[in-house]
Amino acid sequence: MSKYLDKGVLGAVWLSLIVLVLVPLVFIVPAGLGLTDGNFLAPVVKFLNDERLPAVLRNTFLLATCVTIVSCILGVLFALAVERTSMRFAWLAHQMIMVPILVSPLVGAVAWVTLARPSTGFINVAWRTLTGSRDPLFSIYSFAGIALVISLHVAPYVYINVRNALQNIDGAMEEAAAILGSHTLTTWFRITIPLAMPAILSSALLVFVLTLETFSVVGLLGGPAGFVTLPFSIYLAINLPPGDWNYAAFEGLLLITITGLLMILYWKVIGASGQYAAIGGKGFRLVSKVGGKVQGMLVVVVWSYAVIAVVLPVAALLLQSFLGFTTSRFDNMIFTLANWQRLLDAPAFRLAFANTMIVGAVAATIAVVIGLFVSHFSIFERMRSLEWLAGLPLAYPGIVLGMAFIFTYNGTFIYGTLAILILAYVTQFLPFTTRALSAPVMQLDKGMDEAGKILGAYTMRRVMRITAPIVRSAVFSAWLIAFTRGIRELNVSIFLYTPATIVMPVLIWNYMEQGTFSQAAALSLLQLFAMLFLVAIAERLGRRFESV
Amino acid sequence: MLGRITRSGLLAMAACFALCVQSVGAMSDDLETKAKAEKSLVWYTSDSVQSAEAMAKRFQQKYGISVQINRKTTLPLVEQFVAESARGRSPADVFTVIGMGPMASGIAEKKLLASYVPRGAEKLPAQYRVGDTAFAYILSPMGVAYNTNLVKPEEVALLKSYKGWLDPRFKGRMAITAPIGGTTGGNMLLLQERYGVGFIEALIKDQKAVVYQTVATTGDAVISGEQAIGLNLTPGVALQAAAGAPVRYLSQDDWTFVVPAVAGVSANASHPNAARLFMNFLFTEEAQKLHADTSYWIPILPGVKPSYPKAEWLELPKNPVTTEDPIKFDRDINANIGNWRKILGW
Amino acid sequence: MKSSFLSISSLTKRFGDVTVLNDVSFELGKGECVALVGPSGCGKTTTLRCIGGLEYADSGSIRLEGKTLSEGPHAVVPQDRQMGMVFQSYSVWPHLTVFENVAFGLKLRRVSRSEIEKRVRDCLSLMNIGHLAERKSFQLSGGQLQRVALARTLVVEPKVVLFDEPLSNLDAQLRAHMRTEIRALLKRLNMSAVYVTHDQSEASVVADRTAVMHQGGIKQIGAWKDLYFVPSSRFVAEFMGAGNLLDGSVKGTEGNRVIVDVKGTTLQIDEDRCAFEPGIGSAITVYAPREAIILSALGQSGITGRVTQVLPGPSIFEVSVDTPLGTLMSVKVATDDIPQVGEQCSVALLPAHLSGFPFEPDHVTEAH
Repeated sequence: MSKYLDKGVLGAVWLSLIVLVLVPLVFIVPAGLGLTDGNFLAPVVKFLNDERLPAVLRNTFLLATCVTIVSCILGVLFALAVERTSMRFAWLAHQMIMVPILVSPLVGAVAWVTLARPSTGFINVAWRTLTGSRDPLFSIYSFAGIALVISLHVAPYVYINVRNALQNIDGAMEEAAAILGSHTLTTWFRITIPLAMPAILSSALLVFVLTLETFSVVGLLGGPAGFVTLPFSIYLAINLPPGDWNYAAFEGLLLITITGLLMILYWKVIGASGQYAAIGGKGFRLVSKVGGKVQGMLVVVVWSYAVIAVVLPVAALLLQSFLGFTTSRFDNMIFTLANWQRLLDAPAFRLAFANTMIVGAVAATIAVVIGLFVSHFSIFERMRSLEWLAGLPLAYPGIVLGMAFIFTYNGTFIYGTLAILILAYVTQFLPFTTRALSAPVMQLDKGMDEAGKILGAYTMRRVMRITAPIVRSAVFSAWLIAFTRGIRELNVSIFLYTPATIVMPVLIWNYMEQGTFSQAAALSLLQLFAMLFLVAIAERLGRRFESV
Repeated sequence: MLGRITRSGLLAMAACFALCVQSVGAMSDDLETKAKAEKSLVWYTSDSVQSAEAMAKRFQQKYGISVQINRKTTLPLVEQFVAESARGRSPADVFTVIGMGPMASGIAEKKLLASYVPRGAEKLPAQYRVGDTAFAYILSPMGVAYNTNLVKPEEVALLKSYKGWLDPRFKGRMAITAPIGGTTGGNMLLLQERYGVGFIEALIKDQKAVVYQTVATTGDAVISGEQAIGLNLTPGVALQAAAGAPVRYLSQDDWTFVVPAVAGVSANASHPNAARLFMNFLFTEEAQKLHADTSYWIPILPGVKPSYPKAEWLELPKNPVTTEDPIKFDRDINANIGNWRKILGW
Repeated sequence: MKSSFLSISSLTKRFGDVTVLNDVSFELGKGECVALVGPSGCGKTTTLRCIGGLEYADSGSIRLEGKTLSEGPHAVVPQDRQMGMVFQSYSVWPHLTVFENVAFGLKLRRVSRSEIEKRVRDCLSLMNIGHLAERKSFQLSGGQLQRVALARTLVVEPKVVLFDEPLSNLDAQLRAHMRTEIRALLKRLNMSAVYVTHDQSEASVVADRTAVMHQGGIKQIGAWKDLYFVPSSRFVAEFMGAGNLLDGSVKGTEGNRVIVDVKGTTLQIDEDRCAFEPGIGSAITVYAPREAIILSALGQSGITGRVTQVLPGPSIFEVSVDTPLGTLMSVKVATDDIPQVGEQCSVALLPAHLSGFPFEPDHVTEAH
């Protein structure tokens, strides 16, 4: 009997991946090609005749390119500062650099509007007061502003990848150069950075794709800037009358094709960097670290980032959350607790909080379980196609996935329930949980699983009683990665929520749209604190898990 | 094209159904009992958030029926309701959008609304109802506002006519709400019809008006002093004046485009009685006053006297205009959106 | 050979263009232990994994007690084969205690709790690790881990135990100790086993018979002594140890002796010890184990040689001598007279211990 159960488990994993990953795409294609309303290829024709097309495509790629360059430079500098200098408080710097990853870019954009709107942003007011200038220092409603906010948010991804690479590079290689009389910077440029290049390249691709997909920041700042990218154009196609879903679907198909091709490239680079990593052994820590002027400059860069990306936005949100109405003139300011009171009293807030926790936790759990079985089958049974399938949603822009879920499930019984949000979240989490789990499972001695097999244990028992408990700290951190993503998920939820299934990020978006900025700021802060709290717990538990 | 726009003194218009107010008090006990048994209802609405929440709260206090609000701007809300209904049952019990056009063409034509004439709405003129299915209950003016710290008194006079907005003194100082919905789009269409498309181009290109996505964000730009003046705004900005914000809502000499919030009961409502009771509630003096106090919009029931705050914060429309053929009007807006987007750079 | 208990016939397996198993067949008797030896990549581990069901052969069959476990592509899953397997890396589950590790298989078989308790305790004491029951793997040494792995396998009383280089991660001393212990245990429990190792000396201790594998096929199977003294191919000879390989040609036969000429010297081989039918003039390689090379004081019968190297060892000395046949290796027991380097001596090849197999002109030696 158990033999059939075994086939059932495999079948269930295949089925869940097909339903979660492939089915939504299948439904968006006919819409995008105009088959659903009988106007075959009408969206394509409309697209090709769209005069805005060149500008939209140019904006999309220009933004992604600039963000990639800026965030890669920042990420590499951070990694060098933390890993290759003897800077003080490196642990704190690390924590600060990681904070923006936890915050949704939307929250960052909200904060930066307060900080750098041309006339009344705090930074510009300070600039005018100090210099007597009539012009603002910097406008957030501009290409530069949008690029800045996104760069600040994605730089940590580059940092974490490059830092990993630096940790894995055999310090002896750099020491050898130093002994030969190479200057620090020369060593970095000739040895360290080239060795980390696969990591830099793969993060550059990842960041490029993430930026291509970004909707929320462009949606908030791009209007006044007159700056439209492909995802924002999708949003506008749906939200400007006459709402044209098929046109949006076609633009979505185009976007997903671009990101899909880039992700294939990304996986190729990752594969190559995997071979590269073998050069350096693990655990070779560089004993002699760099000091002096180079360190001084890097320290300035890191702490400036901490101030610009973390301290200032949090301060701005805090201030905004206590303001009676928006103003940057201190003599005009009226402070009140009303925003917080209204937020905490609002039934929508309590509902959104509960929904966010439920959807996040359930979806994270499902995604971890599927990820675990996918890793098991892909590594122990050599079914690599499962892992590939589970990684596919990495190429799905959130806004396209949301649209695809609408096309797929609108009118079915799960529409308007938490279940549809859970399904969409699981799809989004799958690449992350699978990757977080397949790495430790790969390192696992295959005999662990085979011993169970020979003793008579079938898949279910081997995964739940052997693999999962052994890699439990990875299971836990995969769950947490997914859960924290769930807390800040906007792109898909904005399409799928109903009043009963509203979640916190949607509530922030709605508050912004309805002009209740102070409540949006308060809720953003709550979201941020919830994240920090969770991560702190995770680090504690994580350490305990590892010590066992 | 002007023919579709009728100027009508609001008070004069309202006078013709003054009698309605009397019948409001006596609601059918039978409906109330059945409604209470349903315990809750879902309200899809594009109404002002503050007002919607206040009315939902009041309704719940009064009848013990909880109201869950799904608040979106008109177009996405219509899309959602239509799509949900097309393939099954929408959770919506009561459905509200801003503008007669979207309600008539998008919803009522598709038979998504039940026939129900709320108590108090029996005498509403034809332009404010879609047969027996949807009824306007409040009027939202689309006008302008300015920041008192940034605009000199002599400049205020200029703002009273849209022509004055092209004055070089306002260059680089104005915010405008994108024509994203029927209300803002309607005002845009009026501007184009009266002054030509060149006027809109001049606002964006020469006067460097900054375009914001929603009325709320434009309002915030004026309140915070980010921009001195704002166009395509509802009187809601003046609510912040009560909190001390340096903002005034201005009545235009040219015209003030007025758009109704329209409500109907969903044909497939899960809580049909609660929905009908809520519709009745919308046309009570109590609800109308509550809405006006929390939005500064104009009650459709004539006898209602909103407790507007200091008059200087808010000038009510002297010259309101509305549309006679909302469906065609909507079509015209849609036909022009592509062109406006080009001007806006969207 | 005992009656066939496990029967492997014509196993063939390919990975793409590479043939990893090529027509592998052998029989295993009840209570017998067969070792599979050979250099890495020879297919020994793949054969073992096919028996266990962890890999599937493309063709061929495996039968246990007459029941078919695999026949071509149709195969019984490993869970239903009633085999046990001991892995090279021990694979003791780190999240479970020693007791829980050993109890795992019994729980799967729905053995009652008290029975589990008893059998696990018994098995642990049998393995001399009764005192470690509550420990976890990170608290154990390599040897202890190997005992846990063995206990985990034996406690469920498998029909066949499969050993996959079980001792290769242990240090030399422990390895020598464990192999005798495994041998004793298998015999005591009358357990059938297939034992994979790359170390032929380990095979000699543990197994009743040894199969030497090369390039996916079994070159020769038999008792260790047969393989060592009568290899049937150059590969086996080289793999089994440092014997002397002398290439020559067949001159003819005399009775049951084959007469071979090696560089002008005539050698005689027992016909039974010749791995092929030697025709006159055919190329032959004569194998002379070191023990068959007798060194004695100059003047005795035989050819003359000069000692070139003496390698001392714990019990035997290895002596190399240059002779007209080439350099020959011989062994002397430490208590014998050990000749000095440079000394001349008489060298005799004991005909009873010589064997022969066909000369392979272009062979590539992969033995280590």
